[in-house]
Amino acid sequence: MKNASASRRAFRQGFMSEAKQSSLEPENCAEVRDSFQGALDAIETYFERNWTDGLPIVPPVPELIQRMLNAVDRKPHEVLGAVAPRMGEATVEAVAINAVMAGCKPEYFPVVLAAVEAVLEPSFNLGGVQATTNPLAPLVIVSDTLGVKLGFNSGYNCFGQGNRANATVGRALRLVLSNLGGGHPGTGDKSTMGQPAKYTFCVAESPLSPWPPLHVDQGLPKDSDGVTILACNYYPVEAYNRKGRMGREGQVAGAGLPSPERDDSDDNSDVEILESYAEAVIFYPGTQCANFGGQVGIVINPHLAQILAKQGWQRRDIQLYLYENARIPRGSLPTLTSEAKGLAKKRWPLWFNLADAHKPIPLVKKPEDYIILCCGDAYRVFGAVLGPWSSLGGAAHSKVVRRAEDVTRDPQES
Amino acid sequence: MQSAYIRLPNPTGIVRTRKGKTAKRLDSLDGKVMGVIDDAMVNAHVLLDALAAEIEKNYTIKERVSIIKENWSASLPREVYDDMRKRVDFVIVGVGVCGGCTAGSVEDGVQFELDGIPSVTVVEDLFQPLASAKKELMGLSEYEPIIIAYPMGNDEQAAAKGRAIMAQAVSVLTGRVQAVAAA
Repeated sequence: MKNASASRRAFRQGFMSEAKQSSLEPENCAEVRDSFQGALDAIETYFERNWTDGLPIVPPVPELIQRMLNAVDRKPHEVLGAVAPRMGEATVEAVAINAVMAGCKPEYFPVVLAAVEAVLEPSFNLGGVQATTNPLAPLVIVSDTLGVKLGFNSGYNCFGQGNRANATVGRALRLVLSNLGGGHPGTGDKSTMGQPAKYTFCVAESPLSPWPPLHVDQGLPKDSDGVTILACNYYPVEAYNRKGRMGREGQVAGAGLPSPERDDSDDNSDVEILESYAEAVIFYPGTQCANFGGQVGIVINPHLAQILAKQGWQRRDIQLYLYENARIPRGSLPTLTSEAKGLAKKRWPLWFNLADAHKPIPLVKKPEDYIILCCGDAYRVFGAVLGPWSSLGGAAHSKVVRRAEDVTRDPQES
Repeated sequence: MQSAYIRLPNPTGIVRTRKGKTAKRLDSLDGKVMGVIDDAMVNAHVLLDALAAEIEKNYTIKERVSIIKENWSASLPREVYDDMRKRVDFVIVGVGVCGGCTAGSVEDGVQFELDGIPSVTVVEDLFQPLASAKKELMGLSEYEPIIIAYPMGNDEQAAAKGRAIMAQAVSVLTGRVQAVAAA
């Protein structure tokens, strides 16, 4: 039959008929035996059709998809937007399918949905983020209270392996970017090197953070749960006191760590911590910032964050410190392409261009372009810098996470 | 009794593409206003300038309108695009030498075609698959960007590449194979 044939053709190509609103319509589905062998066959089928990230998926059986949909108060066919560059429609249902495939629990689904909504904001420029030769990946940052509630890891090895929530939520976003957005290596994703975070990249803010959650800092309600997205690269930082207490011996012995309990009023451990970050920003993403601008993530573990907070450092203070101190001479700005044509005048504040060659200039346009995040183990000195892609896109975007039970409790919705 | 088979969905969703048409080709470039859209990539301006100059040498171009994109990884802002569309008879766009800039340039080139203005988009061979995917998604699979060999090279090499594709560019814009030899 002609129509059936056309549907099969569309299915093979990964493009569904416009007339079909649901990915669960028979014409759009693969059939496998309802058995253990059928599940294994399904995994292989999804590999064959290039519908995975290179790892086995959980077969998205209708029952599991429905469990995802039950976790949000959204219509399955509601369209969140089109995922660039392929422009596959991100319906709630399509995102749910990919969340199942990633191994998400249903309670994670509202987080996945909010993350997808964040990357679909036009100013995030997902088409550029996906297609760029830069290795960056969108990082999903889950707010502290929600992270605790859902079991996200914000402590030891929080950017690493070993936690289902972190691993599967980050993976779900990646599958959405690949399957709906066509972000496949060599076509929709032209990254020269890629990075491991392209498999999954998700972390939660620490409940020990002395500062408000990021999404609140970005202007969302204080009493909300939120997700923040930042497209970035990860660079480790060792933030230490160079005046002895955190010297080599101290680190090995675990002694001499700067402590929030100690009276630090007469030392400058706070400044030395921040100096480490300022140096790391210059050393790691400095050239990228100088070339292309963008936002820089500053990841501070709860231990160091509390030392800073105890000495009065709020997010804004840290942003201002880094803006003032992470600088390079104007003359070291590359004079490639746009700079040569005067576009730098538009990309940077005018005074950057008026500065002489020796004048130190900041690596971001404005202090708020430092995104301060608190997570990690509370007892050591490591942190991280999250390098940007450019001022062309990938900046921090936050969304409120709304679960079905939240909506039910909301008196305005009843 | 349980069904013997179970349905599993396609996770790639719906793509709503519109089937578009390329613009009517020009009879000649003589007397036409030429738009040049430089995506600000390394030496893109050198290549495009050489191409534009070569066109001007062979045809009586009424005016050249040039712009440099502020965001090479996206299509032109609406107001800039609209202004350009009103002012030009054809455009040359490029150069796609990275992921974002290829997507952005092809999107611009295709959009001009869809709006009735013939365009030439120049893309490096390494980014041809992305360019192909982009034009197809925009419903214009017959659109053919001009492909140059990697690397674009230094000023001299980029200019040579620009001059070398002049006849091809004119063919794309007029729909006729050109006998005009590159200088």
